[in-house]
Amino acid sequence: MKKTILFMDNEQDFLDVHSRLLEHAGYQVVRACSLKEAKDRLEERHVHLAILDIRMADEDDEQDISGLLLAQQEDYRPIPKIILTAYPSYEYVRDALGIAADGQPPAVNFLDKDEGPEALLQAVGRVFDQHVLLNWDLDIHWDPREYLSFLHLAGLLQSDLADEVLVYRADELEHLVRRLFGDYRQIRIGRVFWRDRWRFCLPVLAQSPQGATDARILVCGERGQLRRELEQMRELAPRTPEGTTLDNTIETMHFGAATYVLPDADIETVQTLRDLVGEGRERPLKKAFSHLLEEVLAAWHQRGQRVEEEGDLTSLYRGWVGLGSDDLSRTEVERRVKTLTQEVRPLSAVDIEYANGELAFHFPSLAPLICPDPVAFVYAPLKQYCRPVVCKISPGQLTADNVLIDTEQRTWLTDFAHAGQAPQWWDFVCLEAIVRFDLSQAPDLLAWQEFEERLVTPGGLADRLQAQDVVPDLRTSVVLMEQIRRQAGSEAGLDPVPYYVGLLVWAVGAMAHYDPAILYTQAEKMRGAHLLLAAAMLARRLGETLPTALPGGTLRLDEDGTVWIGDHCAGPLVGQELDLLCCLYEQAGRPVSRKTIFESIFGEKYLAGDADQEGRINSLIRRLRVKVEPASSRARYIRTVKKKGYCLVASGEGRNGR
Amino acid sequence: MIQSTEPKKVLVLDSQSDPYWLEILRGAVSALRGAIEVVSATDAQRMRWRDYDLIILDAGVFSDLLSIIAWILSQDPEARIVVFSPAPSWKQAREVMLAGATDYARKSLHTEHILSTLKKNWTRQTHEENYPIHG
Repeated sequence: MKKTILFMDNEQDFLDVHSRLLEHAGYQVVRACSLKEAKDRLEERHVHLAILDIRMADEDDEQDISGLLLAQQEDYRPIPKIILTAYPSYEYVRDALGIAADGQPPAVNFLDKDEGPEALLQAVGRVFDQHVLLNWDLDIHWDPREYLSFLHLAGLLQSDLADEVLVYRADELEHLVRRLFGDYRQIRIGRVFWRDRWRFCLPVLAQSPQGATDARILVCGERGQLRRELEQMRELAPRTPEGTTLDNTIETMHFGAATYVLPDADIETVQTLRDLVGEGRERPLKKAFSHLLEEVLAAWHQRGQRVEEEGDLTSLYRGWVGLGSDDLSRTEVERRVKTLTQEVRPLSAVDIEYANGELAFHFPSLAPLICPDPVAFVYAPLKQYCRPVVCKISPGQLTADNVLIDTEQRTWLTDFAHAGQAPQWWDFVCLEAIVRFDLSQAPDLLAWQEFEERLVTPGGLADRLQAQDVVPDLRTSVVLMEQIRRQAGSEAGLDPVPYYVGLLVWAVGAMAHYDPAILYTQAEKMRGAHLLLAAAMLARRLGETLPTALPGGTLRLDEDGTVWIGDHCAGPLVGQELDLLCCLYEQAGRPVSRKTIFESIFGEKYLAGDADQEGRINSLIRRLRVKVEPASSRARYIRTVKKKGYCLVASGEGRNGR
Repeated sequence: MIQSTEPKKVLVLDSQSDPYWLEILRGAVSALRGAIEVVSATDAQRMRWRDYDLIILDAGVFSDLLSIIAWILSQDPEARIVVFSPAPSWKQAREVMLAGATDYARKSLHTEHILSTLKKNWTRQTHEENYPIHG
């Protein structure tokens, strides 16, 4: 990595002469003779310093401070800047070197062009010494078992970039590391513990010139996102000295990085929850879960609670699994779950059907397991648990990889991006979901069914789970889930319903992340099948407990085709389904004949008894019911009127049954 | 963040300044509901800089402006120092601001100019809480 400078000046000759001077002095110079060019270069390249002229639009215009305005932009704040002008004034100096709203001056030095090239060289040298502060002598070693490099890490964060730009991003990551470990002689970078769309986390061992070794956890990611994560952490994290401790932070143009200390941990032996489960030893797992539940998470939960007046429990949970109002639409979630059903069908001898608002599993030699549509449950307000909902401070999204454990089974959290107020069951739900869906292994879907049956049976969170009958591979998981539920019960009460709802939403959220366009392995599909089964059984369990949990109220059709059940949006309708509902809606309360329906929707002459026409009407009615009826088992709004046709009952009240 | 309701305290290190200008300064600070204290340079040794939200220096009074700024900052690295100069120059502005002054302005006799400079520097820069962050 060479010391790189962006030089912006609209006088081409001046730019060329001084760029050559800097190049001769050993710097790499990226030239820009317009504001746009400078912005483009800064967006693409990685530079350590920018030299900016003030009058970039019109050399003769005293009002032109475009270069200064560029220096003041927040986007370029991490880059140290020198203002270089032919028109120095003390007002310009104030604007350049004065502290801006974010607490930083836009520039670190100010020069008059008349001061000459030597002054420029000296100023540049000072900026590298005092502001760039890179440890150019740092030896960087990589774990030989991993195929890591800065280029690889840059690709993890910004995989959609062209190769040449990715090389600059790799330089930027190296810059972060050389700055963060400015006082060390060498570092050794370990394997990636976890990553998501915009961050990665890995361990770093650092050796000082005196030979002392320090261990850090490095989290690196997109600059704005990481800054928000650190703000959340500063505000919300418990002040426990033994917990994950923020050590240092640094930003470049595109990235931010933070180092954490895990007090007293031997980072060389720290492993993820997934690793520990992989070892299959129950006793250390129980001890680690005790520490995580009773020490780490309890400290977060004690940071404060709030009663959430807005939104019901299911909608709050949906926000936590990426099914909020700004995320995937309900229609898309249904489509993905349907696709998943088709994808997992060939995996086992179990036939799975997802239609007419039901999810049916046909196990060989067993009665079919018919459950209500779990997706409908996830989008239904839970009447008894509407509002208010008690929320507590949560570290966010616990996963099998972002919880670290040392050899003494002490645990540390490493991901705070989603820290905030969450329903008080949320962290326990996440932990159970990790154990249940990510870390447990069963030979087939039948074993999962037996396992799930035990998990949805208890009527209280402190109840024992019957572990003795489940396959041996799953016994440890059952023990851990008992442990999680006991703690959830002691903190949030013994009622299992809000807990089960959380698990159901988590499972549907996980299913919604199955992208039909992606090729999945058998193991990943099997996890999908397990999620499908678990979600269906949770929906069945909740349906039995909460017969009135589904949305109620009057059905209303908006002009844009959106259907509302009370204040719950059942989604938009299009095509024939919308035509059918309009047809019924116009005659609400009165039966509409099959003939009228067929001829108005399909525009063909109705022939009574024609099997094809009857099938088309039945199919259309079924499709519409799936969209608007909260429960598949009983049609409340679109009712069959024997020998007459169908009738829309907008209130949804009165006689039930198709 | 809870904002302090205490009046801001402004220290003027300048005993030889034009009393007329000091009066204008007093008026401006008072308009901002602040409290002003004027001390001579010889008293500087005994000052507790941390007690003040803003420190004002008159560039026309001190020949060793940079060393005074450095000394104040050595006592309170977060001190906000505004230098007023009767004859402002870009070179002096650069010197004092690189030395750590927060702002540099003309020693104007117009209250609104003074007010504008004071307002710009009125809030003491917030610094991250000085405790380790745990999670």
